Amino acid sequence: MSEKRGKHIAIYGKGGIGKSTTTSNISAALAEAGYRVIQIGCDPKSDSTTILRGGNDLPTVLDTLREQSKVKIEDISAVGFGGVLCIEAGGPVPGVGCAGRGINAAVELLQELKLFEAYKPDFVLYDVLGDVVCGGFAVPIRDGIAERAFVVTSSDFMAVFAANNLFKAINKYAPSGGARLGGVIANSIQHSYSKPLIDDFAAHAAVPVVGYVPRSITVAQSELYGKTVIEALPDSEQAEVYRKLARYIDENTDSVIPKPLNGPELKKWARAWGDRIFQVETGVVEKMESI
Amino acid sequence: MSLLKSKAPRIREKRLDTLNAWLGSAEAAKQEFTGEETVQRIRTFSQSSEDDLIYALKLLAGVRESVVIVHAPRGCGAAELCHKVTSGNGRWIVTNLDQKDTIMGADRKLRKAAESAYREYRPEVIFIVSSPVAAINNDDIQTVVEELQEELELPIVPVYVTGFASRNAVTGFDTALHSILKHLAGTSGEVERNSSVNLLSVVEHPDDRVEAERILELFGVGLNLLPDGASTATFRLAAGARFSFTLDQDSGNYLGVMLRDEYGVPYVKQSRPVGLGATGRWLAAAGRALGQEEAATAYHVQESERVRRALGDFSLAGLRVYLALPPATAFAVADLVGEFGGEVAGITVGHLGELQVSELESFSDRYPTVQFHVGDGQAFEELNIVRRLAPDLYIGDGAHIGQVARLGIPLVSLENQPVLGYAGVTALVRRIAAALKNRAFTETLAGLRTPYRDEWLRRSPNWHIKKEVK
Repeated sequence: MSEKRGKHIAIYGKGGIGKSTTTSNISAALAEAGYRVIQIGCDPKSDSTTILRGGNDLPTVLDTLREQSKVKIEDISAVGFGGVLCIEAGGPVPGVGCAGRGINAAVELLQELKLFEAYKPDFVLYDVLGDVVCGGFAVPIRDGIAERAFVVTSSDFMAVFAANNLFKAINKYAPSGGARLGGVIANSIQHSYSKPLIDDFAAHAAVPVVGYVPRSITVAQSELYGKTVIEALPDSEQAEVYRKLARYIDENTDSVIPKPLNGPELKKWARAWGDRIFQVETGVVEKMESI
Repeated sequence: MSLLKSKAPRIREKRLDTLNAWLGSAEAAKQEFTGEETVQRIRTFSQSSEDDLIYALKLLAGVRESVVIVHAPRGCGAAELCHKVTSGNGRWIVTNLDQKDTIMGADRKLRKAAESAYREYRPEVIFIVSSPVAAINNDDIQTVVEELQEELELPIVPVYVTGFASRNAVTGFDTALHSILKHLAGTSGEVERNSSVNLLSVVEHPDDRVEAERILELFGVGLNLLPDGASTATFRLAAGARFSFTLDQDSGNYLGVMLRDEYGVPYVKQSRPVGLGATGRWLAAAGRALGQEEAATAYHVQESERVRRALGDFSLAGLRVYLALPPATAFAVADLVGEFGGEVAGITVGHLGELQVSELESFSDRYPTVQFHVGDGQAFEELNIVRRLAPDLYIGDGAHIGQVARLGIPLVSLENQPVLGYAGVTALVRRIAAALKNRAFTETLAGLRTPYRDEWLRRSPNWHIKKEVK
């Protein structure tokens, strides 16, 4: 195993929740602030770093392994916006093989290539596929690869449910050297209840919320240009939100072991919020926590 | 950063440029290792081979007061039956992973196995050996290890073999040794220097261990034998020893190198002490390290005399001998063959790499055209080769030696037989003499067909060995 340089951080969250977008924007913001950053996409879809690379092609680690026996760092990486080194683990074609083993193998190969010794990053961000369905996807948070993990969620129940599952995985591995939780990143904040809902869930699970990213058309727009918001619209409010998130990650090293809710608890919690939101919809006026 | 931090060492292909498939002359073999990197070969057909799991189990069976838990479906534990016979030490439990476990993870079964092993045997150490299924599932062994260590208050050592990461089964020795040092030798900061000397012995015949200890008595030093016959305390002692001697440079390499690099114990380069010449050199190297070279030389002269008298006029003059042995043994026995006036007809080794380069160089200076075959468990290739070469004697230790017998060639199996030192030469020569004299066994078998088609026997033996091209 090569010398570990820099802070290794894993980002998890339900598929489609905005993990890759958020991670790429954080990478861009860190790079803009002068840090050396590596972003490693751990998703067989290989789309983590697209908006850092202007949408250009990047051979994945596993594809390259399939074609060549000797792989060099240059073969499997590309320098994106702000100098962020972009790498995609890749995986087998859909319906075949085991993507979880693929993540494992890709991460091992990067260590063997002494990537971190060569590049000397300040930050390494592992953007990991949404639903941790088997041992392989948990590899970045165990085996001492990432020290901290962040979980991205929106206020949709499915995202919260996925976040709770991720807390279970972290809870399992943290005591034996796995990554601890840096916190929750609240994404896609658009309703009046979104922030309070996520705050309440986080409080129940004894974890901090480290940032709130509003839903914004700037994100969609930048993505259509194949860019991060930091690159496409650097003076926008949204860009500032990502910069603030990046600064948090830089300046804070706190981490916790989350307390996931069990099935009945989560159900009860969800129903209570269902009631509150319904009351908002139907205009019931009552003394309650501000929504 | 300590190399022991990782879960397992690099596989032999990468760590020591090791080939497991190759055919060519000794001179050509030497050339393979002169470039920057050796080009790996692959087999387009492989008959059988052992894997690193089996080798790890072989090694661990020698550690005293231990229990091995094979975290695998039941078949993977079968190799232990064979090790029980050879080492007499082995106690094991197989967690018997089934379909459900592959889906849900098997930590509970592992826990249960370890707890029951503890209750029944009260060992000093429990080894948990991973397997292909556990590796593919990324089964969480680490958490169980930590919890149990706290609960049972004894070392629990996980060994992360996979069964598929390396094509060289000998990687299993390295992986087991890595875990042993990591968990049983203490950190380099905790080491207490002592005056003992290590003797690295990996899976040797008990008589060979006795012979090695007997010879080294002449130096009057306290010996740590490891890992074969070691207890957990031995590993701590070994980390603070004055030197490491070795009985087999290839098998024990990782242990010697890591004791040197992590704990500062000098590793003495030695040949495998098989045959008079090699035993003399082995002893001389030990003598030099301990500042007792004269005593070593005198002893060797005296013992060699005794052996030569006992062996009378035994000679291999005019005989061509084929060897199929592990690399360190193969080179040593090749020397022995030369000592008695014989000629090496060809050699099969299970693997060939950086560790064999200097021996390969001296060998190819003497016998540049002698053929080297690299393959583990490839009886079909070996039979093809041996049939063509038609040697007068075959010395091997493979599981397929029975097939070689059907070629009608006198043969000697070294499996489970003592070969080291002066007692080893005597024993070996007696068996060779017996094989050359009593030919009835192989002559009778020669009446039987080999299991291979004539088509294959007509093909060139490296038909299925190719350069890796992607």
